[in-house]
Amino acid sequence: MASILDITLLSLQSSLVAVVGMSVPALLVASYLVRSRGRLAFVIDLLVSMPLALPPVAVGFALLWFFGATGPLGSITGGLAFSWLAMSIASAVVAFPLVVRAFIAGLSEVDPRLVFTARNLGASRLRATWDVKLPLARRGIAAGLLLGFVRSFAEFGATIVFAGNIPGDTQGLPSAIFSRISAGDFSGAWVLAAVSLTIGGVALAIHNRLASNYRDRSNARVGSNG
Amino acid sequence: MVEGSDKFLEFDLKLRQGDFDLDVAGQFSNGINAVFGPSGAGKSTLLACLAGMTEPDDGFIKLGGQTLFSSSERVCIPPQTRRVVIVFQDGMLFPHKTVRENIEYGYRMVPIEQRTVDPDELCKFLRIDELLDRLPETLSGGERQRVALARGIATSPRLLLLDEPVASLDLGLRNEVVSYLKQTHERYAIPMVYVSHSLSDVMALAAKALVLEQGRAKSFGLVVDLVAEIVSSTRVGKSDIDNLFVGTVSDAGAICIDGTNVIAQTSNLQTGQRVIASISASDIMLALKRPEAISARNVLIGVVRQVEQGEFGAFVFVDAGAEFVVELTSEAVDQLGVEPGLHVFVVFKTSSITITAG
Repeated sequence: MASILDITLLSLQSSLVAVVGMSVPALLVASYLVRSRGRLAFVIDLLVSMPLALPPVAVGFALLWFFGATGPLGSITGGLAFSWLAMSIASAVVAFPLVVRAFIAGLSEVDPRLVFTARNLGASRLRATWDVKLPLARRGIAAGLLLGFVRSFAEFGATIVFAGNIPGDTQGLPSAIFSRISAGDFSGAWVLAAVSLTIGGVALAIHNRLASNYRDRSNARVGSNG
Repeated sequence: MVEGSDKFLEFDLKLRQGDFDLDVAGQFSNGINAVFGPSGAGKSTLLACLAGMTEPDDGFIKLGGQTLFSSSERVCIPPQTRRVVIVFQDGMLFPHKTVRENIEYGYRMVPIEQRTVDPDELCKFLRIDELLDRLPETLSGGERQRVALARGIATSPRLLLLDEPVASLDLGLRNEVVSYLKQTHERYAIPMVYVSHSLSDVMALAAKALVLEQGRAKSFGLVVDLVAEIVSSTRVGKSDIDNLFVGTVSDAGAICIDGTNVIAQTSNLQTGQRVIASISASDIMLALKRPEAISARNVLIGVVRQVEQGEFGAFVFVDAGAEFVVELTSEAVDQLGVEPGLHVFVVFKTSSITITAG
């Protein structure tokens, strides 16, 4: 049986890879949704939000079909299911809508005229994003990444269906807790739950701190206008 | 003032945004041109199109012979290569960068052979060289606008667009920034389009103005010809029109404006100091004979250049060394027989002059 440390490290690894992997796509989707109001934006918003409405088990099932041998991406990614990367993918898909929401909150704080000013002074679109938009949205972006990490770290339903529950390979903290409970090892389950709680709690605390600073600043701004 | 080619900037733009419809054509010289109109007239939208922030649905923009935008030729030069720089009302300084970083941001992106402005000298000129290490949030409104102006000019723009750059400032600071704008134009010879709903600024800065109303060009011409129309179209109240002058303190409580000495309160100013003097158009009187035994200290001899009758009265332009705008009732104009060429005395009190250190 894998040690508590191995299980924890595997969970951390899959969540961090999930966060890193979804950061750029989430940023692109959020940037698009912040400035677009059309029908396409509505559809994209709905699509990326779907995992919020679906049971995670169903998300895992959909991923299994999508990446499975007979699915659309089966021929390219035949061996992806039931690997540690599958854990990252499953938890990333489930956490994606939350990350996009947080990014939207951060990006919509940035006055588009400031970003335009950078371009007006000679910066390309990419450079203006890098020099002005991202630095000014950094709190919202950091909050989104932390929220994505917390959600990925706690992901169970989609992961167990798509990545399985193979000790040493695809068994992170949530699946390991599930296995301990199934086997009647309640004290083992409590220990793992405590580890989860500690790591997730710290990340969540930092996130809440960032998010509340955000609200304070927005409120201050509203106050000064009124 | 650099005047010249009347077709430095040409445009014909159509744009629909929700309920708002912009359809405006114009030709600007390479001096300072004003765009005037009430809020919602489309002034900012016009600037956004010129700078490339908004793409018009139809039409063209030509600057110095180069096509910046043309719907028929499918040309739309991106904002970063237009070198048409906009200065917004609130300055839009990058809040996470120091004053120096703000100013150098655009300057560093300009190819060396296109740089015509030395940023150090520019900062001294605009008196912001002491502020370089500060963050924008620690600056006053007037300082912020000067930094924004410096940041724009440092990029050696072909055209500077000013979107109500002084609207959020109080009168003293407003006059100060207006005076800097005027001097900046004289020194760096950068063509400007100045958007405002303040007639005083427009009169102090621009020779020609485009009057916008509900997305349409209502008129275009010399500012002096448009004053009455501007007043009626924007409902500028009485005493909202100021004469703005840049002058220097000559000794013995007087200010020298364009060679004319005006008596004013100069007790806390030094001789030779540059100041901005503003006098409301409604605080000036005209007399046909030299008034005697009168408390008003300033009595200047002048010649009426022009009379503009408007809905709310008349504006009389008098050349008394410096050019004054005087607001009179229509009855007063008739009674005195005020008409171009008439010799008059311009009379105003010392206390009517507001002095701002420039």
